[in-house]
Amino acid sequence: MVYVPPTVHVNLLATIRRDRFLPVPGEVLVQIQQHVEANTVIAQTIIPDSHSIKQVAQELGVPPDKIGPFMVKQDGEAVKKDEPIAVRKTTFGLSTITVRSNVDGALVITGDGKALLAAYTKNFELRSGFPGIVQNVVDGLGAVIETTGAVVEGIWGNGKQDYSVMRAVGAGPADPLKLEQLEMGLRGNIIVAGALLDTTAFKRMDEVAIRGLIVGSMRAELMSAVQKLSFPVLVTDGFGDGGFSTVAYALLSGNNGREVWVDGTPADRHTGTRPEAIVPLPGPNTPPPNLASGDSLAVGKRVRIARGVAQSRIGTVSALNDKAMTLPNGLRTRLATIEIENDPNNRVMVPVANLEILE
Amino acid sequence: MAEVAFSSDSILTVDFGTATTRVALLDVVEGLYRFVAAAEAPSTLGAPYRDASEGMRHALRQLQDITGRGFLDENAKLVLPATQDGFGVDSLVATASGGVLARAVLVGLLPDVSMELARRIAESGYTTVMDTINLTDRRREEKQIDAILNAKPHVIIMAGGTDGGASHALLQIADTVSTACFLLPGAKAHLLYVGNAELRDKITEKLGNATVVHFAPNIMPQLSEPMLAPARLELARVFDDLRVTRIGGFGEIAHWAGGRILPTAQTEAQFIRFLNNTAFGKRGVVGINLGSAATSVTAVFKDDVRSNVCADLGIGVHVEKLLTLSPLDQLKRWVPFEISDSELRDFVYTKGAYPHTLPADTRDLHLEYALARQIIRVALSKARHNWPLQWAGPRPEVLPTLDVIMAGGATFARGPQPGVTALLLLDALQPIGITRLLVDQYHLAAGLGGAAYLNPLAVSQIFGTGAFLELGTAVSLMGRARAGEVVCSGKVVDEAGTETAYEARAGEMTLVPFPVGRKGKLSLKPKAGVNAGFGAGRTHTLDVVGGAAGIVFDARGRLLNLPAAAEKRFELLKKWHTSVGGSA
Repeated sequence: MVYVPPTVHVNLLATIRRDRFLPVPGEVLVQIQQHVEANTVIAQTIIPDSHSIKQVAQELGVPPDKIGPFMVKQDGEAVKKDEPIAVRKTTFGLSTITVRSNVDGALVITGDGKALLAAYTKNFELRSGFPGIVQNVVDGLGAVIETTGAVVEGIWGNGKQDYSVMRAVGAGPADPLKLEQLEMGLRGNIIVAGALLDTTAFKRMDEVAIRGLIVGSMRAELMSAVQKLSFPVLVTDGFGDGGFSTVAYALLSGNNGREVWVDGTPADRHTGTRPEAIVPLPGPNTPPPNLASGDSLAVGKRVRIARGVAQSRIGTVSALNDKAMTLPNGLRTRLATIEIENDPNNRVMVPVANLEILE
Repeated sequence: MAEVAFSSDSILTVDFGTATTRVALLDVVEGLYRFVAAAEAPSTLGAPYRDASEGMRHALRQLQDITGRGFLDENAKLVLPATQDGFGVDSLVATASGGVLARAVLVGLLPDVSMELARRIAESGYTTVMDTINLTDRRREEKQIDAILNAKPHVIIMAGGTDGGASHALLQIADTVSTACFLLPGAKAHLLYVGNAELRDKITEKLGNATVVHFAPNIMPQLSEPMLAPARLELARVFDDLRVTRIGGFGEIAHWAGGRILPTAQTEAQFIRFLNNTAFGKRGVVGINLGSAATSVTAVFKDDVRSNVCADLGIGVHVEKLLTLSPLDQLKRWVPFEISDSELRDFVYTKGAYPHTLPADTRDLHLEYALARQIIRVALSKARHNWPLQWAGPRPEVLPTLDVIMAGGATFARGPQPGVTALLLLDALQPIGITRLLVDQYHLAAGLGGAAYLNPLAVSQIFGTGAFLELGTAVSLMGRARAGEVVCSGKVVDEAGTETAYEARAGEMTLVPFPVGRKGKLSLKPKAGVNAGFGAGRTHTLDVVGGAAGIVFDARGRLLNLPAAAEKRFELLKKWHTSVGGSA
């Protein structure tokens, strides 16, 4: 029977394409086939910070449907603070009533004798994030950037993004981050550590001015504190002290010293995006394959175990039951036999629901 | 009496959940509708497919393997209607709970009247309320506009005024909503207007350009009983529109299903109503569906249906939401072993990160079931806010007596031992008196509720044929007694005259085997001061049917009072678990 588990990408070399879109429409600054660096601004926009309403008719002393002839700014026009948006000369032209903008921004819309103004305080610049080639441009929104490299998808991120040199610290895939590991030599780097178990290193991370943190696991209770950090944090495997899966750790530590793009944008089930780290690498003459998703579970597939005593272990499916079987805890479900990698004597039976295909 | 016309056609039901897509085949066998088989596959509403029909095809191929009957043609299209040689099906009933969690803004006049009713409409569907705007809102108009822009609503529910009543204030708020919606980027928001019917033309005039306007009859046409059902139906249509436009495949599936994909919660409510009206109905029926992303509670008492969906609280995708709705201690009290707050929180978030996973060992099962218990308690508590006062139990915190509790969702359908599933339900709902416990093991309730609109006879016939797992009859005792004291005794006598005596002891769970399919008489002799559902100390004999767990005596009291001392609590939880057949 067909079973299609989720796919997680922990891939040493693939062709990677990522949508880089503005949160609200704006201007795209790049062209198809253009080479971009990580810090190339590919699109920009202005994000309205807040709105305010001017009671134009009331201030001018005219009926709400009669303000049109007095407006000196039209819908959509930029305005400066204190700049007139409507002017009326009183009877015999003896005096003038002026309605002024109270914001730097734009006159959005007029109606019912009122004017809605938007204050623009945020100029938003969207950077490529990682070096690559513009494969497609979506007018007003952004571009699709393609690169070749290694990718590690994660399970949680704190919503921030950055690009810098990656440095692994600690003794292994589950070694928690310690204060003393954060030497000044790591300034401006993205740190890779097995697990984040407390906040003791937070102040030091600020002092050293690290640009990002990639951990295998993190205590869930740190989530709100981590969301306040100024740099991206990516959790690849789980919550708790389990650390990295061997394959994620091998990929990251194997690329120690290379530049990495850390995208802590939370996972979106609808679009399929996950928080991730991308290490751009020069591709061979023939481009490596694209990242695949949606394969069925089958004998021979490489998988990551997502739950249970073998959580985060990597293995290969050696047998797949078609019929449901009873687990020691009484649950009935389909099971797969997994040969754990680098551990020839370790074979485990795992519910198929607890497997992710590793690509 | 008028005859009910129906066709003897095969029916395929499909339900699109967030995690799982389920199909079931219903067909006529020897003149009666029967449930034939069910199958399931992971949903494909999200990436990489973003096409609901793919998961449906995966599930149909499994159903094909089970039944030997073909459903898909060479182009992988559903064959509809069935061919002469029995290929395909004659009709499709499609329901969905996954794919759309609609952000809603509620707009109305008074918080206690129109806003409260608008909230009840919103909670009947898969919505999360992002903001509310009403006459008592102290924010300036521009702040209200910013609030709507920040909410990025898919749907705005606008209520207020009796028919012919208040108009000026509502139209003023409509201006604010119109301005905000004009500024919203992307697709137009849907506006469901359920207020003063005389303002419909003006609402169209003000909001028709900036939103997609839907009308339903005023939810408060007069200052008497509210009328919510038509508004709920219209909200279901809004969801239908959102799904079809946002998720691939739904347009085609809706076409096969006669134009509509119904919200799962709505059709489940229809099925619970059917249970109450046809099969039971003396006291009341409650249905629980514990889904991956949402939990719904439907209650029916005397044909009054109250359906409540916690759209962002499930046992998979949104499980971490529980920690914002309920203190960690409330979850921890259900765990029968020592676990630190930190580890428990890690467990919850890991479950949310891997929502499709199953408990792999007994410790893991206890943690998952602790989650299930607490999610249902939270969902039930929220649902009870929408229940009328006359539905109260003997004490405010206790449920009224119920004929039936029906449980749906994979947690119940995959339950390890029937007694453990019964214990989970009894802990989570804590009913009183005599209650039949049913499990929707093949996830049929949504499909049958949808089919009930077309073919009520099919639903009636299928319900009577064992498609739902009879878990057993629960006898929940209330009263004061010392731990271990016999609080109720008696016997159960089956139709062959075989007698089984029992004794239920205070603080304990007792199972009396009485297999599925067996009928008999149960005599209850409660101790003075103890109520088995017929008054304190009153004896009674009643008809009972068998169940997978048998007859379940719950003599732990109501509400269940778990010891504060951890070791004592662990001991009790483990004892209850093993006494109903759970593995140690």
